[in-house]
Amino acid sequence: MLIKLAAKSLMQRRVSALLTVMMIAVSVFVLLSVEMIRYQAKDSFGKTVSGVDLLVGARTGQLNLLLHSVFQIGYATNNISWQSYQTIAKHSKVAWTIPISMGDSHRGYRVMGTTQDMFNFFSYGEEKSLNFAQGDAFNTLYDAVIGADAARKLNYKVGDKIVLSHGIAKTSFSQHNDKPFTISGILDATGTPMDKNVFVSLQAIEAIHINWQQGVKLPPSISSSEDVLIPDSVTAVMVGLKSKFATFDLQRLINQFPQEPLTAILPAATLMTLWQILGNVEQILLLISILVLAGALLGMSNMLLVSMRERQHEIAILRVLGASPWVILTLIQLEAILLVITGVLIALLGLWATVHVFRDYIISEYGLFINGQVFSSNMLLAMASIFLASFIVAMIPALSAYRRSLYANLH
Amino acid sequence: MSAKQLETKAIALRNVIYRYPKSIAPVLHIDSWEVEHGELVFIHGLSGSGKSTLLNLLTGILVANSGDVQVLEQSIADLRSVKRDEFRAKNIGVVFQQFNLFPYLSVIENIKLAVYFSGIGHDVFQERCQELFSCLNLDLALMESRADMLSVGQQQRVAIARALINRPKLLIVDEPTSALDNEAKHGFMTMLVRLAKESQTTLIFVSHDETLMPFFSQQVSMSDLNSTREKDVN
Repeated sequence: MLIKLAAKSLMQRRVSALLTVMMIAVSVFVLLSVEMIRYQAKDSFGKTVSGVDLLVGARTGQLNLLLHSVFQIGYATNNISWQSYQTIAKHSKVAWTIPISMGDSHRGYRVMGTTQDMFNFFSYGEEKSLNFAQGDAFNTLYDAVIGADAARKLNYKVGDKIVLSHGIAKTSFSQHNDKPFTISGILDATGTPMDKNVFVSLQAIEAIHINWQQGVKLPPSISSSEDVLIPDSVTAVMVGLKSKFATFDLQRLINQFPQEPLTAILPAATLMTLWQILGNVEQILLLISILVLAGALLGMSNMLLVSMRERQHEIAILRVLGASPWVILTLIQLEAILLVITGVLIALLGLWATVHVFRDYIISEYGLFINGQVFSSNMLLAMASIFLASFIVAMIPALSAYRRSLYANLH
Repeated sequence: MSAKQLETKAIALRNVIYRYPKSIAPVLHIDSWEVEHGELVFIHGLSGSGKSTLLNLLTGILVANSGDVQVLEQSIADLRSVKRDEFRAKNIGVVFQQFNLFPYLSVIENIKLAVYFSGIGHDVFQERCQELFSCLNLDLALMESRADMLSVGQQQRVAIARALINRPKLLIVDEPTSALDNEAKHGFMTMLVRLAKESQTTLIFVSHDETLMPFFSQQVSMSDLNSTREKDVN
């Protein structure tokens, strides 16, 4: 009965009630989005690479190396020579290496030249390796393996022919259309930037550039045969060690490499550094969203408080019918809860829709994977806090109604 | 407080003084006043004469600063706040001057509000509703309409139906006819008095309109009842 009364009373003031609901919806939307990004982005971030002890590239900043080799953001400033790579790979403490070579793309998806070891040794999340959803790794020179996201978006299946483009811009005018690739395998979704890669062998990268100079295609002069397909250089190398204890020794060794300037980083530590930088922004966003919510709740309180004046008579009617002042207080709290519930539902709907619309954009632009899970534990906690806060703030008009009802006059 | 003697009256007031919070001068001071069970009482007086304070004391919304207010053989001051509200819900019906109903609720929802606080069963409610509607000459088809779609006269009759749905032993009616024309007023009074007599309800009727006096067995002037002016001004 009281809920019906509260609902109908709000309907009676539907314009101001609706504005209040929208105000709450917007602020809850902001707060929940920030919460979602905070947790899921952090989660997605930490999961991108694991089991790789060292990441080696030409001398550059730690973050730059991590971003271009793992997140496919930005560019490498220089390459590692094939000799240096061989030296590292043959070091006695090194268990395995995955060389990667970047610089080409396919319809906006970056091409990663690598070896079979990518599928044997790379791991992400809790030590999960790359698995094939369909097909398998490269068997012949012009075989390609594509990530789950790229396959889904481009609607590719095993056996399809693709042409790579030179450079990593979304649209490229120089196509490697003389050497089409065949998709030999499609990977399972990992929730990491790997999902939007196209993998080919290092030899294939060499092969398609064999008659090129300075990024320009030349007329064919020598035929591309397998024996000349040893690459000059690679972009970066992922290194797995036999023992974790050797990590810092080897890092120092590589950083002081005599033949050329190199940088070796610990991916996990650099991920942490990167997250700490973003973490400050995240804290500020959270603070702002909490303030926005507080503003909305105070606005709601004000709306209920203002309505109290014109509802003095209603309170008097309820009182003579036998409603205690506590009932009046409850009634106002119910109105507040109805407003907040409606606002939260609209916000959740908006959040769900936004995540689904912008999911691919966020993945491709920032390499962050948001799964659109609205009902995770931290989201429920955030929503519980919202209801608690609204209960506390709604006490202002509720107590005012309580006091008014004590002397609710018969006139 | 403990030495009070319960009286077998519908209303018994002894040395009652009420002053509003933060005010020194009392607005109401009644030495003694009694109403028998089933009596029909007409109270008249100017505005500001303490009428509404008296009604608030009788319903237990306000509690006297001193003295004893007994309603239906129950001393109001002996009841805790929530019990007073419960007592009012079950035993006292009130009709205001106007705007008795929640305009945005239906007629039946308005009446159900009274039942919600007194807690009578659904079957009893249905039965009494039909009974009251026929007594009050109200069309049952109005039940589902919004209260603000009714005429003023219909609204006042719905208010009476709501006030009587819990079979109160005391019915307090405050200026109910001010919005009605003369003819409607007469019909309304006849109906009200008949209903009160039939259900042996004690009726407290407050009005400026002294032409209504003949309907009642006791006539009280607030200026006689309330002695604040003579005693408490200094």
